[in-house]
Amino acid sequence: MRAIVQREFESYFNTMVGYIFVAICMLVCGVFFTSTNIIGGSASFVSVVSSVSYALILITPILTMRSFAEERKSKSDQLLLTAPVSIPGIVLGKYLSAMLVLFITLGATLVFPISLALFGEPFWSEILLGYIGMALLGGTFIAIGLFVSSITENQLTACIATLGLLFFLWLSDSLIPNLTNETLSTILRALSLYGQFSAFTKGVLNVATIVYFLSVTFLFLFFAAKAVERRRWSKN
Amino acid sequence: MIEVSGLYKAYGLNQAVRGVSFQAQKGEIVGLIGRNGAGKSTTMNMIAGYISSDEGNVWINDHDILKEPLEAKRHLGYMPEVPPLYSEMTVFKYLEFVCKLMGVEKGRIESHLKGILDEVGLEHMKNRLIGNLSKGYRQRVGIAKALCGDPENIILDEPTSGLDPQQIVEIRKVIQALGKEHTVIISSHILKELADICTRLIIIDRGRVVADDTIEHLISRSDAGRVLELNVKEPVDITKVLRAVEDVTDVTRQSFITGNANYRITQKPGTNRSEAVSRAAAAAGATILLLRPVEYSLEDVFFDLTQRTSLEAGEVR
Repeated sequence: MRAIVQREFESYFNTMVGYIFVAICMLVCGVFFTSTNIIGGSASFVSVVSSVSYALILITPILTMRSFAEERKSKSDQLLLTAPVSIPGIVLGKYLSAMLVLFITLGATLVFPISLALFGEPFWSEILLGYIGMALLGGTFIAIGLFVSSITENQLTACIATLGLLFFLWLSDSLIPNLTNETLSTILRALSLYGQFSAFTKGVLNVATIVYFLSVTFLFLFFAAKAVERRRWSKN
Repeated sequence: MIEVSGLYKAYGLNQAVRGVSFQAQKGEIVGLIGRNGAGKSTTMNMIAGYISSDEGNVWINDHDILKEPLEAKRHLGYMPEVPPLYSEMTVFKYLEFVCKLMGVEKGRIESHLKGILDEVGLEHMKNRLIGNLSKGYRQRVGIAKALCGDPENIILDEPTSGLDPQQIVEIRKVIQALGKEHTVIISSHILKELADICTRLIIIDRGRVVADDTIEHLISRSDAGRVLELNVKEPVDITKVLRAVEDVTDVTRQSFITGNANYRITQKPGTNRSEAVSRAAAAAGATILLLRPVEYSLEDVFFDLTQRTSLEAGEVR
């Protein structure tokens, strides 16, 4: 599995994908940092964190779209599936490599709170919480993206479908207050990733929230592994 | 050792593989041959564990590919029809990755790869990006991939497709050398290529094994009789005289130049009446310019066998 993590990670930076991801994330972070903190003169980093978390919807599909869809199309999945590696190992390897890219990106954005610290006194605990939240949210998005990639044949389809799914999970949040049907609103509330994420931007560290994100991540990775396994039995 | 028993695989309504069974032992180079779509690649993919069979079992060194996949795959080097390559990696990095997947110890990878790169003639290309390689070189990377980790069993799906004649000869030597210590299964749709290197041939048609034998046996087993070619200067047509020779079942005559004719003389299987034919022709006053048995080629055997299954399947071709 370590070999897969390493290969996938290097592949992100041997192609443009990794750089594009880091660049867009830095750009978004920079724009909001400039408008809120520099021009706005605020030392609070929370609004930047929440803006970046929305940007993650748009850019996570870039990281995950290729992983399974492209491999299947170019048939390079034959290498992994006929090598002595388990399917959960393959899925986990791809997940961890994408997580590494995410961590590097989040690490790079630390330059903004650090420069805040040079000129003011930011709340470090709040910033730390924001970063934990972004890592958990990003990790969940990656797991969802990997799953979508594992059931599609084309990276463009994978990208758009992931985008659509993440958008739905985001928009469903705004539907909840207007719903009269109790069951439906309970379901949507359970699906609402941003509803859970808002705890982090409010400065609340809740074990239930962490467990929520980790279990959604696990669930989608499990689905992805099953989808890859299922293809071997496919009749098409 | 590779053992395959009663493999079935259907894609929708199309039954791609129907009950394929065979064994390949260490030291054997087994050739799988069949027309396009006969089920060769599907069979190989099932042996390698890429797709699952609907029925039947595959054992690699006594490990069931579905029940103990990791153990089985550790002993198998597979090169699919399209080599599974990553175009953004260099040849060396790619093969290093494969070695790691196959569980080669870190300290041994470099020396192990050096041997493989030399063997398939890729040493001078090892730092090139795979995406920039020609088809022939990609094919070689694919073969090198199957050798990584020194597995006892090697499956090569059309390894020489896309190679130039020089490369084909080189790769053939590599495969022959491998065959001494390994179990090798290799597929092709070019008979001659397999005939030169394989110790045994398995002919697959419509998802079934229609023959599994050595090449000599396949040729001798064929029920078409041996044919003699006779070229003579003749005063008169000698067809009747030739027909009268014992064991001759059919004679056809072609003549393009007056006084010169070509005969094809079919004899009963397992007989050779060339002496009697030459005597009969001479006695009829003909001057023999050429008399030789027409080689019954593997192609003929192949057509014979595959044609027969088509007829059995009720198809008119």
